[in-house]
Amino acid sequence: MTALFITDQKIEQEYVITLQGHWIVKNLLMIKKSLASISLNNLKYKSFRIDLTKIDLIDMGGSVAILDFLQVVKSLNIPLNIKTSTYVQDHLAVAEKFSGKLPSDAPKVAFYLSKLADLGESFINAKNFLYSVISFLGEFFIRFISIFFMPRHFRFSSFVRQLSIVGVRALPIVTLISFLIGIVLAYQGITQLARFGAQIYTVNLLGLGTLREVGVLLTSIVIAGRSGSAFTAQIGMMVVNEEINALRVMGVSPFYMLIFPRILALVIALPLLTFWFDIIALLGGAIMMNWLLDLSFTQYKNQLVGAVTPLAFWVGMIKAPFFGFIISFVGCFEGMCVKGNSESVGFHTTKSVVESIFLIVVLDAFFSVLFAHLGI
Amino acid sequence: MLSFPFYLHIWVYDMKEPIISIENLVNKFGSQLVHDRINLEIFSGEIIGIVGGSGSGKTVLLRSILGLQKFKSGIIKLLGHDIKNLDDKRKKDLLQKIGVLFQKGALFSSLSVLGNIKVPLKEQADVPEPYLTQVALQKMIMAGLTVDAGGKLPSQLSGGMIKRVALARALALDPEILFLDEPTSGLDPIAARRFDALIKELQAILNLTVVMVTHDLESLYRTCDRVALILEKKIIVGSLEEVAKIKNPWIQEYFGPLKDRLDRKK
Repeated sequence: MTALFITDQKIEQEYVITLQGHWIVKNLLMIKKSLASISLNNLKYKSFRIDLTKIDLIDMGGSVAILDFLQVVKSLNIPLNIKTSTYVQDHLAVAEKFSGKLPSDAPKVAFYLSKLADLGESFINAKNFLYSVISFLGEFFIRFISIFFMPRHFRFSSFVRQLSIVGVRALPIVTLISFLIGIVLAYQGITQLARFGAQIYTVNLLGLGTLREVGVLLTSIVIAGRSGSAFTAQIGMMVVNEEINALRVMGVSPFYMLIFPRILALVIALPLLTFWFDIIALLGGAIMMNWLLDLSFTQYKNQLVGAVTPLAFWVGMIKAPFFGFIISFVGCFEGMCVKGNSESVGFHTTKSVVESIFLIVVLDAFFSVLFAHLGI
Repeated sequence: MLSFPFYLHIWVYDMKEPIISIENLVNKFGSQLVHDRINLEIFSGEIIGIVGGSGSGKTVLLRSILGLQKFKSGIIKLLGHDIKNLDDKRKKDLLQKIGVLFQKGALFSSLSVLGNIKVPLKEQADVPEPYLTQVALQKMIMAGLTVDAGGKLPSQLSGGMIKRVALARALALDPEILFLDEPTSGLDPIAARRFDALIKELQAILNLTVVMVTHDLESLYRTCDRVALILEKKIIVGSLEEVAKIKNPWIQEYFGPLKDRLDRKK
């Protein structure tokens, strides 16, 4: 069915437009197309006649189109004659009563002024952000110290639960990733060092690289994506549900109840996961080398023991608790920053992951400089 | 057991076909029976209030009618169509003819007020600009909002404003039936009274059929032509006076605060 909503004809000096059919909100798209077929410009008629009596069905949405059309016709300043029925007239009267226009946009501000305003706003935002970080950090340390005087504030069961969630349940994903990384690194080492016939030094490359840098860095990034984001989302939803406020009016600090167990759990879990990562990555490398070079596991072990010192292991390991602290601290902080609605939870969760990965890399660089300085 | 007629049917409206008809509806969650073969007919142009205690299954009934919940057995007909066997096209057409105001507004939090009202217009009816904005503004004004609220986000609105925006969105497609889930809950008495007056006015102008779930006796008294009371898994339908008269301790207690006013009315 092609519904024609509008027809026009010329009767002597008069231009007659007839609206017909179902002028309802559902048909507005077709109505618009139909209206476009009528050209009101360049008309040389003495008068207009608009016939609205053929309209079978009309609703408030459809009335909008009619009112809009009448407005256009009226603006032509040609004598106009409207024929209408009470049914249509009633609807148009109601629609007219409820018609409104968007308020005109705010006066245009000069380009440089708006940029200046943006700059100022970003400074104020940065200042507010800094303030909230400092106040969070301050409350964190005060509460942390008070725990030593009042150990009952430490929620042990909550801590154990978090340890299981961020530690034990992260094992499968960490295992898989570390195994694959071990394979990848070993393969690259073998193919590149083969040019010098020094494939055996792949073990040194793999051992030192994994233990010093790759192990802790990749574990931290995986955990930032897995647990840091979960911290933000959990605490953020609690803020949205006013659960945090409920805790505060009970006189319970969210630091004791939510934040310390999470931070401590991750500070302990991340070194353990890093250790696990190192072992599995070295195992993956061993299997790869066994497969490609026919290097026996005993030879692999001997080469590894000769290549890495306990120092290399500890250089990597010492970073893990710091990274764990950063991930959990940023996760909890961003969670507490959530305001109002679920959209904010999503925004801060993204921010939490990005910030913690950024800070991890920065801190890792800082450690490198420090170790270089110490000559380790 | 209860000793009153379960189904008081009064023909206030000389309509032949009910706009919504529910026959022998059974809702059951596990072993818990919520609705035991209830019948209800709702006619065009009336405002019907669904009342009942907390957990009596008012919202379940509403959700069943809207197709948001599968029911155990029975037939629900919406505008003459059995909602259980509908093809997608029919369902789409049917959904354009109903508007729903959810209890907490259910506004899309990432969209502005105007954006929220535009969603059904764009998605369901494909309304083009400039009509899109014009119709959305019309609904805003209908719901008693001012046009400059159009750019605000739902998080910046008060409870009363949220209800109004939700009403504007529910009215966007000029529905025949409007479902309201606790429209006045969380509003102060003045705002609630204004909201009721608004519903009544719009109902008269647009010839809407309004189905509202409510706990607000005042609102019930002010707006509803008929009341459907869910009690002990059954439903009792009648005018407010008739239902409030039934000799049952729970009903007497429920409508107690309205007693004086209903007596005076007689």
